[in-house]
Amino acid sequence: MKKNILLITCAFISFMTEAQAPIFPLSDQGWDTIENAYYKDTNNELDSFVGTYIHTEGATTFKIILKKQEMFYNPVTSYYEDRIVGDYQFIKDGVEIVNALDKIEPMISDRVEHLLYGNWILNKCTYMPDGDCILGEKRLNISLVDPNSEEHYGRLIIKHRLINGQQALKGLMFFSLVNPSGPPDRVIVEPDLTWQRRFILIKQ
Amino acid sequence: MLRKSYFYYAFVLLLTIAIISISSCEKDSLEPEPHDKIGHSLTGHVLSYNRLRNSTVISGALQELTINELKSNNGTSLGIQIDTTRIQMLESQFYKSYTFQIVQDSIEQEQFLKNYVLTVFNDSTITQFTMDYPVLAPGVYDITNAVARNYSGSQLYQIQNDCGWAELSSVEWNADGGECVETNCNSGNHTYGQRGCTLSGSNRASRTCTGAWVRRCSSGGGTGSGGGTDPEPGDPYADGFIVGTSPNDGTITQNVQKENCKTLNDLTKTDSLSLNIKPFIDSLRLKTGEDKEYSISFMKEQRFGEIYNKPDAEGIRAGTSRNESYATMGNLHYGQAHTHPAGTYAMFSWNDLRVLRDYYDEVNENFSQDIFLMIVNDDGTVYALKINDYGKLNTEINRDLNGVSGTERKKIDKLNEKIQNDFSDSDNLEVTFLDKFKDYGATLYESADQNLTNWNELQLNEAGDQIIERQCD
Repeated sequence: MKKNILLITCAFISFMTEAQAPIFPLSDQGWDTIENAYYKDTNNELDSFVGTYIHTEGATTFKIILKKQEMFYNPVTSYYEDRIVGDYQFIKDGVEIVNALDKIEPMISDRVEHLLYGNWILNKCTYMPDGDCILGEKRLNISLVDPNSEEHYGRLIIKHRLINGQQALKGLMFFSLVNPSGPPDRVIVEPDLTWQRRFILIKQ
Repeated sequence: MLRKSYFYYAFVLLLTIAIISISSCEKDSLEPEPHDKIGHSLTGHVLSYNRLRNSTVISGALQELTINELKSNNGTSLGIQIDTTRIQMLESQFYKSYTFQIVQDSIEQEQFLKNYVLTVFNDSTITQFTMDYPVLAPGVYDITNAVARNYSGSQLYQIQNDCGWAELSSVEWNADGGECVETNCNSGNHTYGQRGCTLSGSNRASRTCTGAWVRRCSSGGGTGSGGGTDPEPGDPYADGFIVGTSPNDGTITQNVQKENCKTLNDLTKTDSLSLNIKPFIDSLRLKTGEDKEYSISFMKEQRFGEIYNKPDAEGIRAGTSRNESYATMGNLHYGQAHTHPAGTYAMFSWNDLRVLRDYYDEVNENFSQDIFLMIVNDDGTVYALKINDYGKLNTEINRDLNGVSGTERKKIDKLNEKIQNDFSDSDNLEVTFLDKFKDYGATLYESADQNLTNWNELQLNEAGDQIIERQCD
């Protein structure tokens, strides 16, 4: 009985939170956002990126699992949002460098920090078109974390492609330094995934 | 032969004595003026709080400053808060004096401007006082009737004694006699004079002639209206001191925009002291089609009393990705230019603003007016950012960082994403950039032509939807 009351209370609070938060499409995100608003994937554009994808190049593999997380309260920005979250396994020349897939499988949790996250849909080809951007196609630009370094932050831009009849994502990843400035003799460490990389991820 | 040598050596000896005597006379004439004389030479700078906080000499006093509160000698608050946004430093051969604004409500601001002045003498002795300047008109202060109030020792404690506040007096600078201070001086052979404020070299200083000599009376009082006080034990300046001070009302120097134009135009000068930046920009233009950003950092070098502007030893270097380039910083590094390759936004990012702020924090204050950040875009445009108000820039950058939570990298990633998200929907990146960052204490310039012969300051119109260009003189 107590358990039922708790569940009903939680559901009610959740309902009230959603009911009170003003809802905006994801495209309304930008410099000026509204605290406690809900930036919703109103057109379900994120759904097409959900899945498990693998890039293989000899003994090097990059496997990602992407899932959709709805109405996540983002403490970084102080608003609710629908977003893609994911994690990856990176094996370089046969040596496993990163494996965070256990964070995304079997289910996602608000309390777990993922290595891939975001919801910025690129509708135009002005930013990082990378050669073959098709006007009107939806590309996803998300954050990419190197768990072995606090010095870098990365981005991953993915777009849908059909490769030899298989569903695939064509990706461009690149990393930046948290502090690009420093003294002349500064030693700069390269991220595990290298500074910049292009790849094809085949859907599993 | 021996007789001849004797006279020769005697002559040399006499000549040597004469030269030494003349040298001594010259040295005597170059002896610094005593620190208790009105009218000693001053130079001025605007400082960041970060730089001041890192000073070991005054770190003790700053421990009190960090809580931004002055207290009475019984520990109770005087209700005075220090504003660390914009710190004016006046430097003489005897001391460095730091002037902070005191936080005031709007009603009080209409009547008085209140400053807190922390002075560090060459022997690390610290003295403190506050200045109340009556307001004659907005931005105009009554120096003659300014009131100086003393605080004791290295602690922010108010002296409460029989003399009240009368142990300090102030005398207005004699602007007609040439008592002025050149603020934000940069490279070049400046002569900071208490008689004439003459400038030479690159003539980059901004001048203020508004200020006062604050005098602590000799033991037993003196110039104060209410008598004096006995010197405190161990106070090396118990016999009195004179400190020059100038009102700090937090506003930007009127000449800053003009100076910014001048320092930008100086970048293309081709004399041996100047940077001659155009060939470097031309080289960067050839790199905008590459798959990475490219950058070059610029620095000062002092040789034989002259200050040279030059690229640093790395020259043009490849960044790590299409979104990243290096910016070398240090005491002598004052600027950087980098490409925004094809397929990236032809406008400064939020992180560029942060880097601009960081240059100010790192560079020697003598070169702070020279700081610039430049982008060379694939569409042929070249933009520059200059600081017009460091205090604002620092405040806004910190406000942004505090406005998002998480690790530093998450914050920076998110802040860059937020503005780039707006760029992605923008038909005019200049408008979008200025719409968000026009109040950040940085000014956006665009080169007027391919040869960088002049620059246009870009501003938003009143409606905020169009760019107004103002050409540098």
